[in-house]
Amino acid sequence: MEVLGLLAGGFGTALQPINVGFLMVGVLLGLVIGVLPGLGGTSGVAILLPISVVIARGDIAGANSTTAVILLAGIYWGALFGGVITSILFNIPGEPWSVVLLFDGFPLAKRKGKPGLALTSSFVSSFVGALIATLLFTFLAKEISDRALAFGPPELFGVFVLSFATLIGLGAESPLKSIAMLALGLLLAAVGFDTITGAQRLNFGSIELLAGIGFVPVTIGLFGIGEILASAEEQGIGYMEKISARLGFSDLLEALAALWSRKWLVVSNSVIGFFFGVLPGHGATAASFLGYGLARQYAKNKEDFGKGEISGIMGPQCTADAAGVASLVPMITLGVPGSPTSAVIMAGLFVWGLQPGPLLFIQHQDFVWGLIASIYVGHFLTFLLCLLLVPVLAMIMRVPYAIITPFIVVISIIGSYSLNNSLLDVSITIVFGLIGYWLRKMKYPLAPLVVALVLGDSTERELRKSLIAGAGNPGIFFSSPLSSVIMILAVVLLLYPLAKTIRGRLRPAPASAAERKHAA
Amino acid sequence: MTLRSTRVLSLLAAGMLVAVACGGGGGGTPASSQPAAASGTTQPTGVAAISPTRPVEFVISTAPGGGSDIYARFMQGVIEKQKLSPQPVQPVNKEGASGAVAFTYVFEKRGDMHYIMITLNSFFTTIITQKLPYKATDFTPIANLALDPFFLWVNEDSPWKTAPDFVKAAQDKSIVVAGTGSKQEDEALFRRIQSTANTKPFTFVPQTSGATVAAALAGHQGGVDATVNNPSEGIGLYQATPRKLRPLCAFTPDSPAAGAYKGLATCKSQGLDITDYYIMRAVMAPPSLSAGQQKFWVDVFKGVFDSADWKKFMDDNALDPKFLSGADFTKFIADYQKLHEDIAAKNNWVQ
Repeated sequence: MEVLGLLAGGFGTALQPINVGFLMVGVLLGLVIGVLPGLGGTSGVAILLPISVVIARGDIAGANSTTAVILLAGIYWGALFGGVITSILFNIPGEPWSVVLLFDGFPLAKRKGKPGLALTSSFVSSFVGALIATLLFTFLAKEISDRALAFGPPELFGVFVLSFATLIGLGAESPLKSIAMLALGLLLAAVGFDTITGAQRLNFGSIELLAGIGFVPVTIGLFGIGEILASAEEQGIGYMEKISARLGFSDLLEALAALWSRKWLVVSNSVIGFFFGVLPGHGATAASFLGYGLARQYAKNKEDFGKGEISGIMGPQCTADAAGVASLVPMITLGVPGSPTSAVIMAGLFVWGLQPGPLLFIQHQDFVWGLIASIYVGHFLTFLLCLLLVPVLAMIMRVPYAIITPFIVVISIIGSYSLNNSLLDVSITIVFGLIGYWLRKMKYPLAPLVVALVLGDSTERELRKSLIAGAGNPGIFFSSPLSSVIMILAVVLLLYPLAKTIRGRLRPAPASAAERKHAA
Repeated sequence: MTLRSTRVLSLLAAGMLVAVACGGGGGGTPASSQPAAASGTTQPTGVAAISPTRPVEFVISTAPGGGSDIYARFMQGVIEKQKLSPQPVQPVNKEGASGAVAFTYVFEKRGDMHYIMITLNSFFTTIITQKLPYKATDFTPIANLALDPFFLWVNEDSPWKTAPDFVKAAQDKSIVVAGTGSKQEDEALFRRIQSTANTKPFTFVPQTSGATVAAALAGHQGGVDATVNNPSEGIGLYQATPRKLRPLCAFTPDSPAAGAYKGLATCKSQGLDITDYYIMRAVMAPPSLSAGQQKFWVDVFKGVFDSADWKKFMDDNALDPKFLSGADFTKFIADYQKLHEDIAAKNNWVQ
């Protein structure tokens, strides 16, 4: 096959010592950036752009633009893996796409005392997701990105409704409390500039609030600070004591066994993540929520989700990593970036004097195949590094509560500040820390709030874009076979729990109806 | 509960704003001037250039990877490579609210030359439609480095082969078109086409970036049949095999003379008489910079403009290299301010 020959050539490029060296640097930086909340993969890549210019220019012997892109992409791979570490260990999202890991990652690490297993499960599924996505990238890049173009607002809206449908009832003891949290999330998502009409919404005249309320500072507050306040009340009980003594190899075996028993979930989520990542403008974050929702939907033990279920880690993590890899596909094949981070890498290509798009495949074969091969190498390196780090990371959970708590607070504050160098984000984090504590006390579920806040904006935008294009006629959602299928699926999923509840109520109904008749 | 928490939040936000504004004021540059440093100036003028004394923030109003971001980072690369500034110039993204966050940030740095900003037409449209408490003409103009033309694009499978085909179709029924943002440059141009060619009102679907606009057209997403993408935004899908997008004409006085779009008809030659609308790729500074401070930045960006790297970048992306500074640039800004005020008034964009 021609592709295999080209890929072999790509490995020749990617495995040159200088390229492996810079890949290693990129991956390590990416891991650090991923671990630090606030500083994201996107800004990490942007910070290194000037250095990549020097590399691409050939100032370093043996290095060229392929080395530069391998370095930048390496940061992305590192950040995709590393973002989960802070989520799992400290209940603070290290990256936007690891927000969903707060739902089950931290509970598994803390309440069940298995930080090593939580981390290893996430790394293993990241690796498999990335591997599947890279294989699809290698063999089907062009076909899939052509199809992705037909995926417009009606189809996307369907996917978002599907995400909401799979997440309904998440962590809920009372459906009303869930709905209240969902509504609060949607309300918060509505704050700021309305891109459809250009109107200002709920910003009370503030120009800083015009940019909207970011979900990262909110989740840092709700989960990170909120959790600390809640456990301070318990005087730190249950933080360290239950951490299992065994570290290392046994976690890997347990994670692999867990992976094997969830192989179809991981494979199908990775493929879905890949397709989602190829869609222009929708990166790993939305994919991770869809991945979590699907994992929960397939599962028989839905009530275990939110309490440290491994499917709640593996499902979203493989989807997110597959989407991350896939977001480079439309950049290479069409000159359209698939995610914010790939948009920065694309900016790099411009600055180095390369034109992103289909001609790259023809005019710069070495570059494209070197990059593709480096995705395999990069993920392998990242995976190994992460596995080696697990015992050290898991040890952090044994640091006494009195020492670790101030540290987490400081990391939370610095993290939310460094998002946009904005003090407003810091106050949002603190306010939502208090709100998070109160919501915990009142037994309101946090997950629906976060889901609505993360997906609310995009869902609204795609809904309104569809309706504008369809001149106000909701028939547009059923105008193409693809969107019809997605919409019907979403509606069925939405109505299914409702139907089940009604049926559950109907069964004892005849008796009670008869009683009522008697009473009348 | 919700309302109250939002109110507390906004109060907090207001407090923070005040704190930030006060803090920013203290960090200004001392008025005493440094001797004119390595600015490599060639223009003999009466004023001596004043150099920055600490690192400079190059504020970008879009997210990393957006249109302006690419330009700013490219310029910053040239400044570094050619050592045009004695102090480092650091790109900083202040995205959000179609530029309003960045504009306000720079506006509040009155008189401080350690902040410069890359701007495009949202510098006019956003300030006008959001009724921000200042105008584009309040800022210190540095230079314009390029004019990014607009093309009229259709999908490769479209029956419209020329601009008259498109205009005729648009006069019969409302065509679904896409563009970046709402009440921004793409919509402004479509509204001008509407009144110039007397078409039915276009159904305008706002997108988040130029790249997603091009993708929406290539996939007929939600029935989108035309766009006014810039040449660089459409080039990937234009060069794809099979070709996905086709430019019908260019809104420029002359056809492109070189590059991938060589020989593309002008819209004017096809009866659609709009030749004066471009996206500016310009650098602005906070209000009230001294003449010497302004001169330093004009010299720096003249250096960027004259570099071979910039020339290649212009050619690769079918941009019109056009350097404007001083009185010419001030007039350009005033003209564009007027043009956008007129469009906003005509289409009832300011409520």
